[in-house]
Amino acid sequence: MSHPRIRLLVLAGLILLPTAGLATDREAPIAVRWTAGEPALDPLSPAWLNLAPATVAVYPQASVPPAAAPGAAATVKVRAQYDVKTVALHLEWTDDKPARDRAVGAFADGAAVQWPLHHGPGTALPYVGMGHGGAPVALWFWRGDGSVETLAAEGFGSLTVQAPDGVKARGIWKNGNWYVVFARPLAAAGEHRVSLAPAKLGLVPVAFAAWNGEAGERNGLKRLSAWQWLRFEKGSVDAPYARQVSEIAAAGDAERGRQLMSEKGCAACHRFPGNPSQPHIGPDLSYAGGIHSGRYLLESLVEPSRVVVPGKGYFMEQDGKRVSLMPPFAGTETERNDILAFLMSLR
Amino acid sequence: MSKRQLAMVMDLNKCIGCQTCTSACKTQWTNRNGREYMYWNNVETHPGNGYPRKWREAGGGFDEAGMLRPGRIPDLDRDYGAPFDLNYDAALNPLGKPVRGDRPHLAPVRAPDYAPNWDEDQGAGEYPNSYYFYLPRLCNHCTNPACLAACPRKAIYKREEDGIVLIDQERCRGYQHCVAACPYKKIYFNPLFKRSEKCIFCYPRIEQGLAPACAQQCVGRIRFVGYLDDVDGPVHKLVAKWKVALPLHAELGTQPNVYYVPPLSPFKYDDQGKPATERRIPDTFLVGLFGPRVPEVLKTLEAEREKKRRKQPSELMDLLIAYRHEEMFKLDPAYYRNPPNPAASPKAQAGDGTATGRRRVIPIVTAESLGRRLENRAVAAGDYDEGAA
Repeated sequence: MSHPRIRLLVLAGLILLPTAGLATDREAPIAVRWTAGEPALDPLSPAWLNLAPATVAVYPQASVPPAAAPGAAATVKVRAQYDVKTVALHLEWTDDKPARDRAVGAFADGAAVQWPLHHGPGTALPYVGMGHGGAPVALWFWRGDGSVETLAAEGFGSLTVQAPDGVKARGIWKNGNWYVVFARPLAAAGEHRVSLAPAKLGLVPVAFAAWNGEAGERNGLKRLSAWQWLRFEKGSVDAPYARQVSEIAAAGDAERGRQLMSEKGCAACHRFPGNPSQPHIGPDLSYAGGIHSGRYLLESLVEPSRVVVPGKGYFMEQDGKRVSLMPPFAGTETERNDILAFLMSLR
Repeated sequence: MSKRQLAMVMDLNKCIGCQTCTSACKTQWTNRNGREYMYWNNVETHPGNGYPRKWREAGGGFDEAGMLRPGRIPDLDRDYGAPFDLNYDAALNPLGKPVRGDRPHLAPVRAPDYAPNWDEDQGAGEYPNSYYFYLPRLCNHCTNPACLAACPRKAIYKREEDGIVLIDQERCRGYQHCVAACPYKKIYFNPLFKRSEKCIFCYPRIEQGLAPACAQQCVGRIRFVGYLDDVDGPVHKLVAKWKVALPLHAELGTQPNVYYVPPLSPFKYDDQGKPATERRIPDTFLVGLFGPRVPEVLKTLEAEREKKRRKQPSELMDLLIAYRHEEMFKLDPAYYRNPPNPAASPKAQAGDGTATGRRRVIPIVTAESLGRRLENRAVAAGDYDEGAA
């Protein structure tokens, strides 16, 4: 945060909405601290615990079935370090009871780090729920049994295990918290792997997810974050890119937006708090503002077929392309901004 | 929908509950590597809790609107009754270790909660009108499988050639949504490989023109195997022509492809000890399992039996008697060697645009070599040295 350009970015992109009591700052990038030596793999190392964490909100996955049980957002504390060769992420979250093994009807706790395979100036982010067609993501997935996998996905249902890319993970459960470190060489050759070069690009998108195995969580039954930004301490950031990734201000009237959701017919297909009918024709919007950026939500209103959430019945096929069942928003700009403000408040 | 559909018909009037089918399946597929608790084929007593325990109350399948009904994953010990160990070392002291005092009795290390056939032959009703029958069960290879619909990874598929439902072991990630979604609870999670597994209708045998192991070994000759569209086959005759074979719990919307000829039962005794007009197995119970056509089917069966008693011809009874075991199966190995339409051969879409081959062929003995083995007494006695044959 001490970086002057970053402070500018934060000021420029302040969200003008009251957040629902969660002490998270979506705008602040997660600082990736430079260390002289290799970052520690031990999650309880003072080198990690003495770092001030960034707090990232994670929300129940509700966009496609099987969906997680509705509930309040939780938080994952994220710390990050890198040296000349390695990047390491430290996740800490609350879990009363560790679930380590997978058995009949039993699921392990887990955590995942998701990276867009293509990112940088001019490149749009993939859909936060495991990417979308043409916008793949790479994932590191750790389970309570100590296993770690490298995976890639291009939308729900397409998750595929990849050959190991050198990622290591170590998790320790202590006093009601999981502490997990992921570490991997910055560079990785080959298809479907993320490669990082902080000297060239110091601002990198990343998303997180956590599973509580004890509660039956696995696959889509999980909590996930919105796209976050890693800011490498000694990396370079160019101002236009920083502006591109900054959150847009919600200029509309969220309360008016809530009414418009019914008047404009949104409520006929989408679930959201305050909608008396509970339709399942389009994605559940209960946490839309929590997991999506304002830019994505705006795009979804204006151009619904640009990224189609691949839920059953959410789209139709036309000339081999998936077309959203939702018509582009037809209303005034004020109305659109009001709806956008409402959607951004859903977190 | 697949191009053809393999199906099985089981005549419950002939099932003696000997579990030879269960053993055939177990020794063929599930006796090791995390499958010990699985019975891809089992035979249970009804009325009864079945295997896994109370599977009929465990949810799954579809509701009337065609949406998946919630289901639960059975518990390994309480519902599946996983195999338990006995205290052999302590009770039998096989190594002759010096021991003080009395040795314990041979007993399970952990008191078992349940096991397959826990309530075998219990049934229901009061003497002399008590009743039960056996219900052999395997995967129904449904036309509209709930397991397939529930899998978020599209790891489950129906083979294009014959409608066999399989789990792609490379796509499965062990989420177990299929286990909960199957209303018959015929998908099992393998705790060793962390993936789900199920009856494969012995497809490597099917492709060689052999009936599945459970059907081949059935000593009661209750199982018919063939393609539903094969008008000359026994399955088509029983299901479509004579309409005496009914699916199990068809109301759950999965369109099962295993059919049952419902069991007739003797008439009840009244309090004078005279036969009454009601059958011992209440129609309502059978209707609960096999649907509203049960009374009609029982009438047909009774009428055709009566013909046979009067020495009149009955195609239906001749079929069900199954004079020649091989006539119970009508398969088509050439069909698999020369797919009629190569374009339709099974490359299924997995996920978003990831095409994976969906045909796996496990090497297996051919029909000829199997025959040779069976003719050879040494081999039949368990000496599998082909060279000696």
